[in-house]
Parts: sequence; C-alpha cells; structure tokens
Amino acid sequence: LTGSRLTTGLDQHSAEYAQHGLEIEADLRQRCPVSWSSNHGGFWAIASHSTLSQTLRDRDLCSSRKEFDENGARGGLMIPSNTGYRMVPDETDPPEWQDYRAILNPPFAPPAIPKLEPKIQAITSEVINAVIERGTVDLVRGIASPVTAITTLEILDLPFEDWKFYAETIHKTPYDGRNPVVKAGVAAIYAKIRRTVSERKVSPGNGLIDYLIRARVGGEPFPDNIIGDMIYQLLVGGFDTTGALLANAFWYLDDHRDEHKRLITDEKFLQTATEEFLRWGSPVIALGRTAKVEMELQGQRIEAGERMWMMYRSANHDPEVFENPEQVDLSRFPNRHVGFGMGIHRCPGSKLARAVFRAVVRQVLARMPDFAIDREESRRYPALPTVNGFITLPARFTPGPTVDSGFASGLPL
Amino acid sequence: VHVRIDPNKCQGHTLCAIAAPSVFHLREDDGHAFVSDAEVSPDLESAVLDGAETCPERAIEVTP
Repeated sequence: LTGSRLTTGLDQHSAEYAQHGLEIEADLRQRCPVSWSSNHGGFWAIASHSTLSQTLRDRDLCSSRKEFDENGARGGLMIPSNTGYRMVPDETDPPEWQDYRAILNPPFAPPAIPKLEPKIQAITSEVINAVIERGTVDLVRGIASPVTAITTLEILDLPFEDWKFYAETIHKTPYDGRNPVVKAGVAAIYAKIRRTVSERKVSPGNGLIDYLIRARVGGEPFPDNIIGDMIYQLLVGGFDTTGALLANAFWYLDDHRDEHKRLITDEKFLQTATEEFLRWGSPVIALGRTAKVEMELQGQRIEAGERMWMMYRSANHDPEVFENPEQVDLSRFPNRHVGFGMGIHRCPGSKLARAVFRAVVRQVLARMPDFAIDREESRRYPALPTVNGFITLPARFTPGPTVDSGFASGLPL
Repeated sequence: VHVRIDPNKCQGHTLCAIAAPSVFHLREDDGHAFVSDAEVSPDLESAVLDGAETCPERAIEVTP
C-alpha cells in the first residue's frame, strides 16, 4: 500500500484561503485530490468531484455523527468539531437519521412549496418596501438576511421580531463558531428554543415547531433535546445559506447587466441560472465527515475515525465535470453540481431555497433594476471554511414606489 | 428508450425534473424522482439523457 501521506497543509480557516480559495482548490484538484492536512486536529481534504462522489454516495463509508464527552465534541460537520449545539438530522447517522429525515422531508417536499410561495412573495415585497424609497440598501442586511430569516420564522411559526436575535449569531457560527461570544449566542438561542417548545406544548401554534412536537416515531414523541436540535438545524439551514447564494448572485449580476431582463422574463432561464449560481457560488464551500471504515482513495489510505473535509465548491469547479468551470453560464445544463451536498444528507430544504432565491432575484431586478454595488465597501465573511457568505453588500439604486405586500402593519425590520 | 431510476441512489436533487418534467416525476413526501412509464418515446430521448447526465448521484440509467 501507500507509504507516506500526501500532505498539503490546507487551512480552511485562514485568511489566505478566504482570499485565494478557488486557486488553492484548483491546485489541490490537480496535484492531489485526496491529501492530508495536520491543521485543526488533522483531516483529509477531498477536493475532486469524483472522490467526493465516491465517498458521499455510499452511506457506509462516512459518518456525520457528532458526539459529546468531557473533552468537548467529536465528529460532526465542522473541523474542528464545534461544541454547544448538534444539528439534527445533519449531525446524525442511519439508522436514527432515517427517523428524523422521514419527519422533516414532507414539509419541504414539492407539494409544500407552491403553498409557501405567496407568503415568500409577500415577505420579499414588504422587505423591499422598507428600502425602496431610500435609494440605498445593504443587499445582505437589508434584503437577503431579513427575507431568508423571516421566511424561516414564518415556517416555524416563531415571532418575526426575533429575527435579528437569531440572525446575528447564526451568520457568525460558520466562520467564528469557537468564539466565546458566538458560543454564548448559540446558548441563548437554545434557551429560547427550549422555552418555546415547552410553551407550545401547552398552547400549540400552527408551524413546523408544532408539527415536530406532534410527530411520533413508533408511537413515541421526539425527546425535547432532539426537537431543539432539529429547530436549531432549521434555523441555521434557513437563515444563512440561501442568503449566501443570493449575495453571490447579486455580486455577479452587478456587473452582468445584460442578463437581468432575461432572468425576469424567461422562467426556464431563471431555473438553469439558479442551478448555475448554486454551482459557481457554492453557498456551502465544504463540510466535514468522519471515516467509518478504512478506505483507499486515490492511492491514499484513510483510517477509520479520521476526519474528512468534503470540498463541495472544489467539486463544483472541477474541469473533469464542468466545461470552463470558472465561467458563469446561466444557461448551463445539464449541471451536475453538488451545491446542496450529496448522498443521504442532501439539503432537504433545497426546493424552498430555490423558491426564496427566485422570489428575491425577480423582485430586486424588477424593482431596483439599476442597483449598483459599492464593491470597495463590500465585505465577505473574514474566513470562509463553510458558508460562502457576505457580511455587507452596500448598493445604490433609483428610488421607486412601495407595492401592496399584504402585510397591513409591515414587518419588524 | 428505456429509463430506470435506482431508488437507493436518488436523493431528491430534482435536477432530472428540470431536464424532462414529463418523464421524471417527484414523490410527494420527499421529492425523490420516479418514472411512471419506463418506456420513453424517442422524441424525449435527449431530454432524458440530460436528466441522467445532470444527476449528481448517478441514479438514472437510460438504455436503448
């Protein structure tokens, strides 16, 4: 078998990776699509579409499970492992994964989305109403973040006025999850979730929280801690990733004005464009796994228990699968991207994310067609290990009129 | 042509339904794809091949 490990020293948390991630990934794909890094406790970087596919398609090869002991956390989706929360079902394995996923799939399945669309439209209209007369907006804090947050709270049936309380922490966990301030924020979210769940057991509402409380597996309800972990997962999944997808699309559309008109008039084009933004912008750059068994991959021997870093964006830019991967082609199709992950943990909210993305893109392009981003003042997340997000995208546009959104008293923006 | 979806491989990416919505249907409970008729008329062949090509899980098999 192999002698020594191919070691590259990838540091996904570094400022250098945040700045030059695409070049670093291209180099890894070309030289060694499977390589070892001793950073962050040691992990294998899995950088090509084919090596990622081989490992994620087989549910017996890799574990997503996170466990806690007196030393902190082991496993899960982050490298190094984050303490203080566990996302369910993302940080679980079969067979228990199956119980959670069976409950979580129907509320996000195809028939559920058309029922949510009028609400998504209304939230988007009202969020844009709040800025449309001003002529300036932060496309992240003023549009992408409130629309995705309030849509998530609407689905869960949680009070809209808490959106900033959740958003402030959730946007920081991907790049600063071990910071004590962020950890305290996560603890505060969990405390609020626990309070809400016990209140809702007494006086039920009409949302996904209540659906999770009513759910039964083999006649038994989920324990409260599992309900809490599922709600935390839904908050994280709903708040941050769709916002990152929107931000990257705005960044591109800002200097590709010739594509705007077709995006709002040609439904099929908007559909392929959505998939291309998912590929090119890869809202989730990478996530971790743990090898369940010893395996040989690209001549490297991975031992059971070793961490693996699944580089989705790198796979999405792999020239073996995508012609001219660095070029955005909004008509690109077929498009075998892994923007929603791959294998059994493929994002269950993917259809909702696409619906929110389209609603926001349509309205921004229709209502502020000349928006121009101040690229000097724009800021990406300072580190980009997982979520490919922006902190701020300030923009100017010609002010326009408000529209009837259906929200009589506005939204707590 | 003949089309088959491996239900153990499909994870509900729904990309095949973009390629050929009249062939690839999505299950109501989880969005995983199925075909109601495995025999597809020749005029849909290229759309069905696109559907197979765009599947990240390689769950779709098209045979003559």
